[in-house]
Amino acid sequence: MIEFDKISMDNILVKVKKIDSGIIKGENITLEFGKIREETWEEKEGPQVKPNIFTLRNWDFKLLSRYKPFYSPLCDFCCKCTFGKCDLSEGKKGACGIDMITQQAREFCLNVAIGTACHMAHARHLVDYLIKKLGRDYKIDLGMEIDVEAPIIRTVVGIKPEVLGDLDEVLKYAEEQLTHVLASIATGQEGSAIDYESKALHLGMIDNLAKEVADIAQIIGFNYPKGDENAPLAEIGLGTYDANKASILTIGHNAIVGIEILDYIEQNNLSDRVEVLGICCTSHDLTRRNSRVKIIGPLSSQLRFVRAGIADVIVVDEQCIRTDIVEEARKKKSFVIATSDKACYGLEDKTEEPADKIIMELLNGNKNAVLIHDPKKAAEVAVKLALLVSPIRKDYKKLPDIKEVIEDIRRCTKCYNCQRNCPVNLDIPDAIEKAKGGNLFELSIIREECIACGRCESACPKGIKIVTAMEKATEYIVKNERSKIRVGRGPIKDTEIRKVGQPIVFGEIPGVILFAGCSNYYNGAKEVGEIAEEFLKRNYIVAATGCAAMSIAMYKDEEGKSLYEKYPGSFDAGCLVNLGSCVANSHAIGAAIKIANIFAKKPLRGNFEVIADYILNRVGAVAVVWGTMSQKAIAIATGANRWGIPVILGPHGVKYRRLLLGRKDREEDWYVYDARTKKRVIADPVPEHLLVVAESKEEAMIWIAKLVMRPNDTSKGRMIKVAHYIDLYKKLFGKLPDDLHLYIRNENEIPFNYKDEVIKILKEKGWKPREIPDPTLLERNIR
Amino acid sequence: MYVKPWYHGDSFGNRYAMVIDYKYAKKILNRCKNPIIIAGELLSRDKEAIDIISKARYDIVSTTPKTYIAFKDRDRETYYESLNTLINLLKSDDWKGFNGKEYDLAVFIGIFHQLLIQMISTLRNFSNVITMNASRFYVSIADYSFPNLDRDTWLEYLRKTFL
Ligand code: SF4
Ligand code: SF4
Ligand code: SF4
Repeated sequence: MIEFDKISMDNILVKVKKIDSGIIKGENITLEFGKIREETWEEKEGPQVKPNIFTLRNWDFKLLSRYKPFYSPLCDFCCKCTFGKCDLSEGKKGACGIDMITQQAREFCLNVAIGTACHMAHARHLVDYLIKKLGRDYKIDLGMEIDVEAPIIRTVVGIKPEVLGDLDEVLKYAEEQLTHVLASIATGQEGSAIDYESKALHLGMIDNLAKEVADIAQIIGFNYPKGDENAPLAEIGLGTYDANKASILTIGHNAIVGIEILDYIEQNNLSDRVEVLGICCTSHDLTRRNSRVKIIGPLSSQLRFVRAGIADVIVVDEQCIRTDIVEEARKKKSFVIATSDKACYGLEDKTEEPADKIIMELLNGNKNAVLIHDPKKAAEVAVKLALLVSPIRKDYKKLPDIKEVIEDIRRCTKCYNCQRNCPVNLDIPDAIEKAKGGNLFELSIIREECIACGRCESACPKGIKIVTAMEKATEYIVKNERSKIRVGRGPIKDTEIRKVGQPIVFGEIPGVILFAGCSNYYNGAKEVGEIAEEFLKRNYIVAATGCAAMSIAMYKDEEGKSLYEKYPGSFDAGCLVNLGSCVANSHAIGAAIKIANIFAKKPLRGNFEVIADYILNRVGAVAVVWGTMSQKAIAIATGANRWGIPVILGPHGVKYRRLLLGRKDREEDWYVYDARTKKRVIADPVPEHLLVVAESKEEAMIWIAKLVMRPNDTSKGRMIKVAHYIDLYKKLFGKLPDDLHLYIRNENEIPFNYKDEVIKILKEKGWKPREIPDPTLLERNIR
Repeated sequence: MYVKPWYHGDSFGNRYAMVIDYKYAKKILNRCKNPIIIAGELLSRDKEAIDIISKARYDIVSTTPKTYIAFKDRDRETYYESLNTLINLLKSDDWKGFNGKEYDLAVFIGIFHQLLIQMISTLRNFSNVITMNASRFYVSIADYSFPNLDRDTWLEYLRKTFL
C-alpha cells in the first residue's frame, strides 16, 4: 500500500507518507527522480550546451594567441608537494618536470579556482536554503521587463531556468567543472601553461554562472529590487550609525543570517532599539532587502570600525572577513557570532542549544564568540544579545583618548618595521615622529592612502597601535563620514537593452564601464570615484558592484553630493548603476550577452562561442578592478575575459602573476574573418589587451578610452570613441596620442575638433584608409 | 654584502640583487650598449629626483601621464609606454626599442614597489635584459640594486650616477 503526499511535475518528486509493501516499510519518504519538464523554451540547442574543459578550448586558444599570457612570478619556488620545494629559476624544472611558466599558469588557475569556489559555495548555500524555505517549484520571475532572466545560464547550461530547482541543476554542472579543473592542478597532471590558461578561463566562465545563480536566487527569494533604476538611496559611511541604538554589525557576503536578523527585528518591533550595520557585500544585499540598513563601508573599513567599538554584536558569514576578528572584537568587548562553515574560528558549536542559554553563557563566561550555524537562531541570539549588552558597553564605544594614543606612539623607536611591512610603503615612522608632540595631523594624511590592513601593527616590536592612532587622528572627520548609495538594482532590463543595444554596438554610446572588486587601493579610495565621474561626464554607461560601488559612493562633489545622487540609475548613457554585491557582477556580463541576444538576435542556448565572439568584436565594455585583493576578483576578471571583455587592474593586481596582453605592433595578431567578404583580414588592434595593470588613475583612464573600441564600431561610433581618447590624452599629456593611425580607419572617423592635428599625424605615419570588416574570429561564421 | 630587502614581503628565493653604489652603477651604465631608464608614477611626486633624472643622457620612458608631464615641464622629452606593456615589449625578441636598437639594461626608478618587484621579476625570469634598481629601497630580484638609502644619500647616488 502506498499513500502519496505530493507529486511535483518539475522534478519527479514523490513524497510518500506511508509505504508497506511487505518488503519495504516506512513513513515520510521523499523520492526524487531526475526531471521531467514541459519544454517552454523553443530556442534550438547550439553545439556547446554544458561545455566541459575540452569544449571551448579552441576559443581559449584563439584568445590566447592574440592576448598572450604575461607572467610575473612571485617567487622562484614551487612548494605544492613533498618532492619540493623546487627552485624553478633560471630554466630549472621541478622534480615533477614542471617549468616556471607552467607553474605560474598553474598558480593563476588555482587562484581562479579558489575564487570560483567561493561564489559557487555561496550560491549553493543560498539555493539550498531557499529551496528548503520556499520549495523547488518556487518560480523565477524577475518582473514584466525582464524576459531573458538568466543570460549566462541560458547560454552556458542551455536551459531557461523557471523555478528554484533549476538553479540546483545549474550548480551541479558547475560543481563538476570545478572539481575537474582543481584535480588538474595536482602534481603530475597538466603540463602545459596554455592548457592551464584555458582551464582558468573555463572556471572564470563557471564563476560567472555561479554568481548569476546566487543573485537570481536571492533576488527572488529575498525580494530584492528586480532591475529597478529607481531603487532607493541608502546611507553609507563610518559615521552613519545611531549611537542611541544597540548595533549589530554584519560582515561578509552571504545575506541569509542578516536577513533573518532584519526579519526578527521587524517581527518583534525592535527597529527603534536596534540597528543593523554592514561591511562588504552582505551590507549591499541587506540594503536590497531594506534600505534602512546602513553600509559602513568596504573591506578597508573593517578594522577601523571594529576598533571604534561601536558594534555590540558582530555577525560574520563568509568571505573577506578579517581572520583575527574574534581577537579584535574581544579588545572592545564586542561579541562575535560566526555562522558559516567557511569561517568557524575554532569556536564552540552552540547551534543545538537554546538561544537564551547561549546568551547567558556568553554574558557570564569568558568567551566573546560562538558558532551558530542555524540562521534563525543566530539572528535571535544576535538581536537579544545586542540589546542586553549595548547599555553596559557604552564605555567601549569610542577610541582611546588622545593622551593614551600619544603615550603609545611615544614608544616608537623609528625602527621602520612598520613601513617595511606596509603594502603601500607609507612613511609611518615619520608621521609618528611628528605626532609625538600631540599634533596628529600627519597621521591623518597618511590614513588617506592606508587600507587598514594592520600589517604595520603586527610588525611593530613595540606593539604600537598604529591604526588606532590614525583613526584618532581623523576621529572628527570620520564621525561625520556619511554619504548615499543607490541600493543594488540587480539585472539590466530587456527594455533598457532594446534602447541602448544599437548605440553601444555602433559605438555611439562610447562604452560601458564596470567598476568591480575590493578596496585594496594603493593611492586611496577616492580615485575610483574620480575615474567614474570622468566617464559619467563623458556619457559612458557606468556600472558598479561590491566594494567599488561603495568607494564610488564615498566620493562627493563640491556640493557634498554623492555620484549616486547626481547621476540617474538607469542602464543608459551618463548613468550610474549600482548592480549590487559581488555576485551581481554577473548582470554586467549578462547585459553584454543580452545585447547579442535581444539586439542582434543571436541565439543563446549552447552558443557560448558565438556570443563571446559577438561581445569581443562588437560590445564596447570594459571592467576596472582598481582595488584587487581576493581570489574572487581574479575569478570575476577571468570570466569577463572569456566572454571577450577586457579588464584593467589596479597596481596590486600584478600579484595575481599573469596578465593577458596584446601587441598592437604585430599586425598578424589582429586577424579576423570578414563575414561579408568571407576573407581573413587584418583588423585594427582593438581591444588591445584582455587583462592589463594600470600604474596610475590617469593611465587607467587612457586604457578605458582605448579598451572600449571594437572592430565593428561604425565610423560615427569610432569617431566618438577616438574623440574621447584624444581629448583625455591631450588633457593628460598635453599632446595627441601617436597611435591614432591604428584606430582611425577612414576620414569620417577623424574627430572634427582635432581635424588638422590628426591629419598631420596620419600623414607622418603613412596612414591609408581601410575597410571596416564585419568581424568574427569564428571560421564557421563565414561558411 | 647582504642587504635585507626594504619590503619584508620581497623574497624570491636564492637570488639576491648585487648591492651597488653609484660608482658601480655608473660602470654598468657605461658598459651597456643601450640602457633605458624606466621612470614611474612616484618619480613625478619627487621634485628633486626628477630634476636629476631629467638631465640623464640615456633614453627615458615615462610609464604614467604625470611622469611624462613632469619631465616635459623640465624640457625633457621622454617616451611614454604603460609599465606592463613596456616590460612585455622589453622581453620580446622581436621588439627593437624606441630608438631602433634593443635595450640591454633597464634601470628602474619611481615605481610603486609592489609593482616594481613584479615587473623586474618578469624580466629576470623571462628575458636577457639586465635589471638595475635605482630606487631608494633595495629590491632583491633585480640583477643590481642600490641598498636601502636615506633620502639625501639616495639623491647623491642619483646625481653621481646619472649626471
Ligand atoms: S609540484 Fe612539482 S615543482 Fe612543485 S614542489 Fe612538487 S615536484 Fe616540485
Ligand atoms: S594598516 Fe595602513 S599603514 Fe598599516 S600597513 Fe596597512 S596600509 Fe600600511
Ligand atoms: S614599527 Fe613601531 S617602533 Fe618601529 S617605527 Fe614603526 S611604529 Fe615605530
